[in-house]
Amino acid sequence: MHYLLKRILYAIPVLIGVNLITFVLFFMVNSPDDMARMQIGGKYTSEAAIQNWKIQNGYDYPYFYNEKVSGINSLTKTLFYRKSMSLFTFQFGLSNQGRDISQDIFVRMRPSIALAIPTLVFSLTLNILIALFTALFQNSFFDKAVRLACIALISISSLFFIFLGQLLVGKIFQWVPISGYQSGISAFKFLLLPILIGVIASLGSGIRWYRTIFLEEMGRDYVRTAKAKGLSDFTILINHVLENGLIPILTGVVVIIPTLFLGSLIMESFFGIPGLGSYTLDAIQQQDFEIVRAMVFLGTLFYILGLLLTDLSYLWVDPRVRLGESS
Amino acid sequence: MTPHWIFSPLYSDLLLYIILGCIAYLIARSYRAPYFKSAWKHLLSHQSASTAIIFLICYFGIGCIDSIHFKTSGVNSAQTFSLLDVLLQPFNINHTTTYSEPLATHLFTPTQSSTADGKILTLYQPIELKHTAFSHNARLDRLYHALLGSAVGFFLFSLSYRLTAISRMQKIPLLTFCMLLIIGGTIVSLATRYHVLGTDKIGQDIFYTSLKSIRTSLMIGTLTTLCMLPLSIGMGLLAGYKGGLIDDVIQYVYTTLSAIPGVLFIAASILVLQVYIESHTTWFPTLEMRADMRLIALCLILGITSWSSLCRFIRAETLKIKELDFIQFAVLSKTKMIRILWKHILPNVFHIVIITVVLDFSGLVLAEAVLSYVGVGVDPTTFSFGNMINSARLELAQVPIVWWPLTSALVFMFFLVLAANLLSDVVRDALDPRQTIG
Amino acid sequence: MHNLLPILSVENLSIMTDKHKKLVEDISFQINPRKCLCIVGESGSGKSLTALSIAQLISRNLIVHPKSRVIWKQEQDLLLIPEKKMRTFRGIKIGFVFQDALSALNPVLQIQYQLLECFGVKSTRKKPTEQVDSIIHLLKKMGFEDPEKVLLSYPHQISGGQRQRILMAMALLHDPDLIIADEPTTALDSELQLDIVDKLKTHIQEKNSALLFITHDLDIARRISDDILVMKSGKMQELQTREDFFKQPVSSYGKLLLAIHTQQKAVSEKIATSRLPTTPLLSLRDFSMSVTTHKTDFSLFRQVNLDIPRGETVVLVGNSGSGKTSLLKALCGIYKAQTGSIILDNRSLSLTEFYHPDYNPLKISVVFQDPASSLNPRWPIQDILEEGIDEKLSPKEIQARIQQVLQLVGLGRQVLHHYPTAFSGGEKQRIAIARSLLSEPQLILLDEPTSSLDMFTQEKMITLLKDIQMQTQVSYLLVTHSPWVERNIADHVYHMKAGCVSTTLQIH
Repeated sequence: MHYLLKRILYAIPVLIGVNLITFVLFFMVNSPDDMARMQIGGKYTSEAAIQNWKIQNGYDYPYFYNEKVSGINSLTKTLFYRKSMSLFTFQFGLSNQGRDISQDIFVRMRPSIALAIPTLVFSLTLNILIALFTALFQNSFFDKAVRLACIALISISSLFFIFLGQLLVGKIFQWVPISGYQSGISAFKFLLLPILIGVIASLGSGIRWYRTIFLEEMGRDYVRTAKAKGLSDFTILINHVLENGLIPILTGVVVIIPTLFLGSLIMESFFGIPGLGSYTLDAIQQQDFEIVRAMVFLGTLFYILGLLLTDLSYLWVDPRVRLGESS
Repeated sequence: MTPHWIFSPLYSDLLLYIILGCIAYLIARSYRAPYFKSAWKHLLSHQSASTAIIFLICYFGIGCIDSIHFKTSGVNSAQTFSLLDVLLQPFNINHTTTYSEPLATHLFTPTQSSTADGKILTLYQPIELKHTAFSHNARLDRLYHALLGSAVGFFLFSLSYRLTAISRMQKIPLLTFCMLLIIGGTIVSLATRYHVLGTDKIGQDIFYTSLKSIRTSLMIGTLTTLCMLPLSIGMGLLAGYKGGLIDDVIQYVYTTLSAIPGVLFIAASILVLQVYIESHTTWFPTLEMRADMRLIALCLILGITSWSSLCRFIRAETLKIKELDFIQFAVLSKTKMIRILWKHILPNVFHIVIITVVLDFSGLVLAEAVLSYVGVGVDPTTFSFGNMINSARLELAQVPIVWWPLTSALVFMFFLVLAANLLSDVVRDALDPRQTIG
Repeated sequence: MHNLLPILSVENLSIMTDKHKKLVEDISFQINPRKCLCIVGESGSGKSLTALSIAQLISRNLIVHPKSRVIWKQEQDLLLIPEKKMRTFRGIKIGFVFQDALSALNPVLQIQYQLLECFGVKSTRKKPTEQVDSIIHLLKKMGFEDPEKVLLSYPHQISGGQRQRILMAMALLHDPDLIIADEPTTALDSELQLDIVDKLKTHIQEKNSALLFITHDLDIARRISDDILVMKSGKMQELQTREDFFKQPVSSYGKLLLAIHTQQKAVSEKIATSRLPTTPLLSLRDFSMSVTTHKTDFSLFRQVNLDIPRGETVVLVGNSGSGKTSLLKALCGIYKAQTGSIILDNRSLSLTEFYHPDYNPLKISVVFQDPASSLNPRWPIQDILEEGIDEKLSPKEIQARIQQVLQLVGLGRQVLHHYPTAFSGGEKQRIAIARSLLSEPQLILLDEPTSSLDMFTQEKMITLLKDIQMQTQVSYLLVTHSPWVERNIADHVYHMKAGCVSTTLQIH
């Protein structure tokens, strides 16, 4: 418990650090003056116009330290505090078009999750099953064929799978629509293709990774003991190897679960799914800094959450960690 | 009178030369060591690795040739071209105006014109091609050129087989080498007359575009990791060895950096840099310089996002090595810390560096494609596989489908990435740390 | 009578790698009921492979030669029966006890499930009570006081001795006809070792079963065996009854093994020089050191009084955790002791002076335990040796000194260009000793310098150390837990237990 508290406390300076970096990135490399010039446009912009724009958009403060005011205000009436620290209270502000970012994020989270979680579940199950079988039939023809296929799969760009999938299914066979989205039950037909492609694209690296874990467990002494007890290879695989292998697998999966909320940028934009991923992508392409900043903050938060969850899951899953050593 | 060529390397070229120099130096230094030799032997004994090396030599050869840039002295000195352009000069026929299929004799999209009596004629404009013996019969002509090319390729292969040490290679790499020469010969021969892989929207030869894109992929794959190496190795060693406050600070730095979502960080940084470059046009006068700077910037930013994992590995390994007895002895002999890090620990963690560099290579090449699609990859004017795919995306929706630019980009990328992956697997086995210490 | 049929009869057992390298060659033996056969040999002699191959447990890429026969109760050849049938043997008719209990048990399963598995209970939910009862009964026999608690624990929660007994319980649950124990006691304390070994012996007497016990420790072999099979490099050296072997071994290797095992230190020339009373080189008085971890003070060693005479060997003996290694480290400066005084050549030094290189005239050098980790695998021997020189010398002088030292340790010039991986453990340790001699030290600290070497190399190493001492008059402070080393090199012995130095014995 004490350990966990320490980890949570550690997250705060990390978040501040991230904020600092993004702040430097966004506001110092291109000063508010430059931004004003860009937004106002035109070749000749007067000082007054720039100042006006800055006041209008809340950029008329110094960076870190306000000398004009005294007391705590000298720290709070600064750009850094107002723009970056406000993120901590989840005040994301308005986008370039004037929409409330927090609201948008809330709404768009759902489609992202609807896409990401089934993809994760299916790809995990499929990868683990195939990896188990290759570990069971090690060095057989099946094993060698799978390994070869995996290397080929990871060498193919994911873009290829998307294009091929859209081409085959959407155009030629016309089973499901290529892109678009509707909330509710009919979301299923829009999600089917991206989920399928997501699972296939993950096969190569997933199978290799899990196979390595299972093979490593199979080389351990307790497997030899189990065999000496007279258990069959299959039983050993399921009862012993899988259980032990799940520890690194689980912790590897748990760490990415929070980031699933952000959605996959590529998948969502190719398939027209209005999730957070496409939201971020559009913001990048339209140079909407407010949105991008909010998403960076959220992304960091979720990443740290993932790390914490990983520690927790170790506690839950590995009795050596949970119960500690004794004598 | 041929104008003089002035050697004018781009910044990225210079970086590449420096890196190649360092690698050559390192190889020369450790040439005698048995661990180096045994790793090499292990590598070459795997047929997959040897084949992969052959492919990589081809790709890297093309990339390096493309990295030697010249300017013509004279009035029009704004254009820089590379050695590759010079070599491809006879093939860089640009007679077409728009799409054409591979090995086509006519344009792909028809043009419509109305005849005198009001009817609408759809014509496929023929491409201007050089006049050869079989000009009238396209198929025969193509066959002739293909056979000629294969014959030349095979001849070259048997020549090298007899004269050089190539015959000592194993079956599969040997076969690959032979196939490459034959296919290369065929392509070269066909390319004297046709656009082997077709042309794109503005009539540019796809084969040419693909070859030029190789350099971009290589740059991103190598510059990224290699530029970040000194920093990540240094900080990893320091954090692992000293521990305490320095360790905490370094850990904080890389935790913070890796907490920022990768794509977002890259996107944000590129955007910011783009604005910066545009508002400081005096620093980057030519279009090429701007594109080049963006490439280098992309490499640096990608490096920042991948730096932390290498640092972590090196720190973990340093923690382990620190406890070993020979370090204790060095400490007792009053060796200075820097010397311990540089001479004792670094040679023992270097295998991790090599593994990471090779492993990351393929990931970076693939990432570039995705990033360019998003719009935060290389400059749109730079030749890259990502840009090819990006522009090809819309072409897929056309009827009939324009498939060749996309296919060409994906196929070229596939072989590069496949070779890198095969190699990285074997490299990882060869440098398995369990075989080195203890 | 049925009882006299041998349970296992092995003939011409040979095992090769897939590249036809011979690992085990022509092993033949028989084990009768109520008897124990000990296979004795160094590590790498093929003993474990022999044992594992009986139940077809060896790795799939090893080949068993077709002429090998493993005959069970004169009925069937175990090497020929299919895997499915073999499974009926394993665990039920043949029980295995392995060496390292911590890694031999599944860390994430409770002990009870791992034991229930022996009954083929696969589901972890139902626990058939009759089998649980027989398990508890067996555990009580094994000496467990609270079997129910142990059953609910995980392997890391119980002690090493308890884990080993669990492994034994797993092997004995079905009362197998043959028990194969592969060095089951090597990692344990001597008391526990004897306890386990005795339990096994009583078990086979009661149940009319046989025991195949693999060990490298002749003391254990003497205690438990009825017959002894000596193996070296995969070949059978001799097969004799216990009395015959310990009286008169037949093979040269067997003779050597026995001789080393019981060797007493030769009453040699040493006595002449050590008779003269000389002031000791180094004396420690009230040497103490403690560390603070997690807010508790832990004393590494306290009030150590130690004298190290010139040109003689002081041996520190003790079990692990007694503080002997910490004492060594405090002497060479890796650790810094907190209280005490040092007397050097009749001159008293405070601790700060002792640890300050400028004020401390004593040259100390160190030789570590594991030769593999004491030499940087990426450095050629030339560089490794040069590191041992602590003064500024010209290259010529450096070479000369290196030559001198190489001669002392019995190595030739050609080693200089090689890397550590080219050498065996014994040779690496010689290089380490050479490196420590290069600073021309007056005292060499040796931390268990022979424990990772096999018996023969140990003997050579001790002889070498004694030679060097005779030639250079260097003193040794040697830490060891092996009584044999103590017997053979010590001039003075100090025992350490829990940080305190107790008896000192002067050996003449």
